[in-house]
Parts: sequence; C-alpha cells; structure tokens
Amino acid sequence: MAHIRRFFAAHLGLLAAIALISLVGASVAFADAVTSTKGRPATSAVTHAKAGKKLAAKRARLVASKLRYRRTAHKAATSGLTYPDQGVSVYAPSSQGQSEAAASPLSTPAAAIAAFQQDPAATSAFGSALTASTPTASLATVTEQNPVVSGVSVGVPYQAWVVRVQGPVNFYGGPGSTPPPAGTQCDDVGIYDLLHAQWSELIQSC
Amino acid sequence: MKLVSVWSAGARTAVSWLVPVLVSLLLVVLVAAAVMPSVAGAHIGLHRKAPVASVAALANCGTYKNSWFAGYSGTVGQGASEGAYATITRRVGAACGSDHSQTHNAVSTWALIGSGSNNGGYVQSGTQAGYGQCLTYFAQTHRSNSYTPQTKYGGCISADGSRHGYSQQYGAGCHCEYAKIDGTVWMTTSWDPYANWGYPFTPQFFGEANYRESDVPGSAAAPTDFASLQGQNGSDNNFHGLTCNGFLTHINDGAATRSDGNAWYDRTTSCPSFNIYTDVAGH
Repeated sequence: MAHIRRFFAAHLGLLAAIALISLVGASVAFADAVTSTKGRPATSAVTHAKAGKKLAAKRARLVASKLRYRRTAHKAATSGLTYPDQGVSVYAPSSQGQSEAAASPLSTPAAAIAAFQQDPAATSAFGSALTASTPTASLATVTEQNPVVSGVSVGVPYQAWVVRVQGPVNFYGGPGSTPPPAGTQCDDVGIYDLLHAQWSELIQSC
Repeated sequence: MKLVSVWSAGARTAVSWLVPVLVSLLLVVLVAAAVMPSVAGAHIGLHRKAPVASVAALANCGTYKNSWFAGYSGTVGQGASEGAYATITRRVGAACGSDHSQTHNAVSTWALIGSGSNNGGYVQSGTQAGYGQCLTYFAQTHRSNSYTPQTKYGGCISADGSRHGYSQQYGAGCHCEYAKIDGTVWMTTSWDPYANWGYPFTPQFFGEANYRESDVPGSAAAPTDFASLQGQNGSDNNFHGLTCNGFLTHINDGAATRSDGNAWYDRTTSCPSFNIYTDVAGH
C-alpha cells in the first residue's frame, strides 16, 4: 500500500510539472504568434477592429483637408530630388498619395516623423540625428531602380512619406580610405511606402 | 511503544509522499527558469523592439578611430580584380559602453572592392549595428576621398549565424559598380570605377569597429566566418576564387590584449577563408 501511495505521489508531481511546462510553452507560442520581428506593430483582432474605426474617422477628416495636403505636397523640398547611387527618384505626389496617407496609420507628417524617429533600423543607422533636429516629412511619388523590400518593383511609382533630417556622415570604408571632414552633414532619409505600410528605403546621402 | 511505532510509520508515510512531490516541484522551477528568457524576448517583441546587440565587453571606450579592422585585404597593385565577393556569417559585435552615439560607435562586417590607386574609393556591402541597436544590412559607395559617401540601410535582421553573400560587381554594360547582397542589387554607382580608380582594384574583407574596446562580431564557439572569397577578373568579368599565395594581406588592429583580457582574433581556416571573433587573449 505504501508503495502504491509513493508511486501515485511521484507521478502526480510529474503530471503537475508537465502541465505547467505546457502552459508556459503555450504562452511563449502565443507571444511569438503576435510578435513582429521587423519592428512593425504587433496586432490582434481587437486592435484591427479599433484601427478600422479610427481609419474611418481619419478618412472623413481627410476629405475636409484634401486641398491643404495638396498645397503642402507641391511645396515639398523633396520634389524632383534624386539619390542616384541608391537608385531612388522622388517626385511630387499624386492625389492617390493623399488618400493612401489618410488610410494609413501614418496619416500626418507628424505621425510619419514620429514613426521614423522610433524605427529601430533607422535608429541603428542614424542614431541621435533622428532627434537632434526636427525632421521634415512630405508626401511624394517615389520610383526605385534597386528595390530591396517586397511590394516595390523597379520603376513602378508608389506613394510615400519622405522624411528627412540632417545628420553626421556614416563612414565604413576600408584601409586607405579617408572619411569626409568632421562636421560634414548628410541627408538621413526614410521613405515610407504607404500602400504596403513599410519603410522601403533608409538612405544617407552626403 | 505502540505510540512510537505509529508515529514512525506516519512519519515514514509523510516522507514517502513529500520527497517525490518536492523533487517534482524543483523540476518545475528549473524548467520554468529555462523557459522564462524566451517569454521575456517575446514580450520585448510586442513592444516593437528588434533584437539588439549584447552588452558591451568594455564599459569604457578608448581611442576613437573611424576604422579599426580585423580581416584581409588584397595587396594593392596585385591581381586583376574589378569586383569582390565573399559569404559572411551574420553575427553582431557588442559596442563599447561609454559612447552611445550609434553613428560614432558601430561595428560592421563587409566585403569591399576598392580603388587600386589609394585614392580612397570603394564600394561595399555587409552588416552593421550602431551602439545598442539592431543589426541591419548596408551598402555604401565612395567615389574617392574627394567625394562624400552614399549609403543605404535595410531593416533589422537577426544575428543568427546564417551565411549570406556580399558582392561588388563591375557591370560592363553600365560601366558601373553594383553593391549586392544575396544577389540583390542594393546600390549602383553613378560613376565608372575605371574612370575614377586605378586598376587593378583591391578586394577587401573585414570586420570593423570605431573602438578596439568594442567586439568584432563572433566568439570562439561561433565565429564570424568569411568564406568563398572571390575576385571578379577584369579580363573576362567573371568571378574566380582568390588564392592563398600571399595576395591577401592580414590586418588585425585588435590583436593586443585588452584590459578585460580579451582580444580580436583573425584566424585562417581553409585558406583563404578565415574567421574573426573576440575571445580571451592568448588562445
């Protein structure tokens, strides 16, 4: 009888251990399922529903401010600016850009700037330059010759936020190469693809 | 005596129950402790944080230099290269702790083709991480020391030890140099390297940091491996394996023992393939 009691006591403890391990493992799997590895927001069904209501409200506000966005975009300093070695050309936005921005989580220049400043890859590349001065953000039409993200094709224009801020030069070079003079300032640029809700380009142009 | 016997029997019964239960609970605690870091990592991901470089090996950064190197460079004036290629395992090096500027304190690994006339021109691609930040791909073009560089970065990637190809390829049709990662063109020079550089161009393969107190990526157990080293031949525009005949010059700026007892290593594996890593000095 004592042997039987010991047998069940041992196995009850192990069963409890297995149950706890399974619970922890399930929690990890659930967390992995909603975790983004690219710095993009993690979402849930509830978050999507709330986002949908917010986007509808934003669209309504956009109708009222459509002309203001268009005027701002035409004045953007990025119009016509290109980055040849990176293969990026930037032009004035189309009306589609305004509607895509309205439907985007980044519906205003301020939102685009904040997202740029918080993006982990941009921080790794540009560091404190993101916040040392105030970036500018403008809607634009972008074409690329060397796209590196999915959804962007060679020569196919897309609407984007172009966020720019001045920063110090990043120089990697090899033996025998010399960095530019201290104090050299560069354009640190983030291009946000509105259709695919992704940063399509992080560029430094000096 | 009867009471003593009863007490002894009861105690034995209690112990026979308690011991296996306590052992099981201990097992639960140990397994939970092992699993908890994964849960913490997932929690960080929910807050939109990408995997970051590990804690710096040295809290205090020493002498800043734009580039301290560990790796190999083609000897200037030798060979017939107009492009370069290598596969490099993806690892991140910890940046030293007293310089928190991502642009001033970064660690990178890359393959590069450089000017053969020592005018500082190059085209390169690889990976980099600013202090405390995630690892990203990058490509950079530099026409010469008389010009400023142009750079392109990708999104955060994991330092998972996976192997990727980094090539700088001359395009005879465009008279330009391509910077590629895994075959995808990241940058294309708007100028002809043959018009700006001396030929033969110089292939280079390095880990690089702004401080020797930072770690070149990799450890003795998991080094950063440079393999399949190739040069693009200027006569046929094809890539050929680089030989181990003294063409590649070894450079290790971090070979000396640091104050923490570590040093940079730069070890030939199957020549000309080599590893770089940071580990206890003297091994």
